[in-house]
Amino acid sequence: MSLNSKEAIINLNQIRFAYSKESERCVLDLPSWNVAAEESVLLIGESGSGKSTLLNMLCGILIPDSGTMNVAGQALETMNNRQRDRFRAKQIGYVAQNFNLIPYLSAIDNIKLANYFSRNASDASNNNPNNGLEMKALLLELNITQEHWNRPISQLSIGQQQRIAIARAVVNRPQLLIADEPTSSLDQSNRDNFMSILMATAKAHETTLVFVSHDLSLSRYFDRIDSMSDINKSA
Amino acid sequence: MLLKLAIQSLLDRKNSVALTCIAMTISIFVLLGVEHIRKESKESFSSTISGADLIVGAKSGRLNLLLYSVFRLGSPVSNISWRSYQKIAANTNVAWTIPISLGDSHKGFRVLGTTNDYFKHFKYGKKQSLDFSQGNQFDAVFDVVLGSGAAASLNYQLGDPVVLTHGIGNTSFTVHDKHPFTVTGILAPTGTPVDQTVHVKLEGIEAIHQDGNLTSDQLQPSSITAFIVGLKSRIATFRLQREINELKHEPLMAILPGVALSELWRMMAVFEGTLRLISSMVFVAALLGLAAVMAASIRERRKESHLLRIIGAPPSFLFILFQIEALLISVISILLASTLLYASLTVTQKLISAQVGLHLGSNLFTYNSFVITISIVSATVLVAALPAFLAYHQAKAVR
Repeated sequence: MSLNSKEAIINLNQIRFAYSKESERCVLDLPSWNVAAEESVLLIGESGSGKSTLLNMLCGILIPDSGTMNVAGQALETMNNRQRDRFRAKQIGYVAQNFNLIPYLSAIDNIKLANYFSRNASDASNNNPNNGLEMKALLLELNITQEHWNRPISQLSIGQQQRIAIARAVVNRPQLLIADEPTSSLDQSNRDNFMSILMATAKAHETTLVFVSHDLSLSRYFDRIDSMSDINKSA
Repeated sequence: MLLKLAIQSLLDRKNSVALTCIAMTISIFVLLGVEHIRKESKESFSSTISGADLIVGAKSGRLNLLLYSVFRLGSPVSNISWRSYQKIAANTNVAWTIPISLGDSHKGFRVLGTTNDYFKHFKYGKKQSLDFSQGNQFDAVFDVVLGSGAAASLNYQLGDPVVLTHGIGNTSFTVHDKHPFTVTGILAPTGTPVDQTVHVKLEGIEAIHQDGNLTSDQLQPSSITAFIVGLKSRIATFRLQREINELKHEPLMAILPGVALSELWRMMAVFEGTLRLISSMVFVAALLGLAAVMAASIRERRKESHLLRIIGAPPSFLFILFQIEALLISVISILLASTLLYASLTVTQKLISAQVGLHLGSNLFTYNSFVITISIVSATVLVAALPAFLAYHQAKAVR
């Protein structure tokens, strides 16, 4: 695969970030980091290596103290908070540790919620009927049977929660899918299951994938493996 | 979606939410209850008598005279002589009078001695006259006319014999069982103390206080407790009042019912204010409890807040979510408290009416309760703003 033929979906330059202005300690010092469209990247790093900070930055929750960052064609550091929230809802799919679904909502409501934040003011009112169809197609595609759609998340199995978390991440057809150690608490079979579904879904939806973990055994699933200690000079 | 999220989130924490709801419900119940009873009792008092220009009794406090003559509360200080009554009743300005003789009771109900003028001239509410639901006014000396509440409680029918006792209270030392009275009439409900009264003729009152053979001379009352005066023209009110107050041979006092009532309201104002203040304090305490529970939940909802942010929720979404949750609790509490108040008013209405002579309506949809409800909702928004802001702040400061 020639990476240069595709345009970069993540382009970070001279990024510096510290949580408090007083402390000299810089969490992130990142001269340059790029990810091409539809590429899948495994980002390896120990805790404290700046992984979470980097992910929050890619989502537009944190902005760098200095440097330029371009994600999915948007210069995040120049946008205001409202624009970044909107950007995150539309362009980023996120699968977190423990999948982070809202436990008291049903599967379908968790997915609808992600959909709710990505909608524009214009189509928020007419509750686009296509959304419902797409959502159902997606749930069926991910092998979530209809009887489980309206159950609260807390009543579903780990395997079902995994698939719902993936469904929620891709429902808005994001350009970038971010996974933050989603397999760290899974056993071998659940992990393999999850990885194959995630990779297949990313491929099917032509989504770029940035996957953070400290588990090198996952390497075989990815196009590229980066280490935090290589890209972050502060790590 | 936002509402659904708020409802599901509250259901997820139903234990602490239920406790908060109960505290809020009780405080709103007290708040609405105090206001309702205050308004209803005022209305009830004001509608007890109407169309009367003066009330005349022995010299004592103005309020005392009003309370015992009209509301059957408290006891008369002393009686007034029949002669003085006759003299004032004969005044050219006087259109009608209703003599009242109190001091006896029948099974806990006050006995009121009067004449047929009572049924002709007494008016309550919006100048409504007394109506008979059964039977007629007095005919013979031992006739009894019952108020609707008394008739219902005692389960008396027309023609039933009644034994009257001297004194007030259920167990009297001297039971006058020599002269059984007969029920000849039962009045329609009025929502005033009239309902709880047993009416007999003045001569009947005299009879139960005497022994032996009764001649019509002996039955001529020598004194009465008070009387109500209606004038031909209201212009004469103050002149007649002054004349009565300045009578030389007997210390009498005439009061204007409206003026005495407003004096009562002035006295009650302090008491009302205190009650209002206390009930407001109770509500504020409950509201702070709500805020405390919400503030305490912020930490445990940190993950949820982070997740919402990750999928694109702006921090203001968390602020609104918390506000909606607080409002839901508040609205549910208002509904619960109103239902509770309505139920307890319906249940205790009869009891209060019988015990205190107050008629408390159960219509809660008044302008006052509307204002209180709006204030409760606004206060909730105001107080919930603090935890909502903390939630907003937490959502904004992602680490």
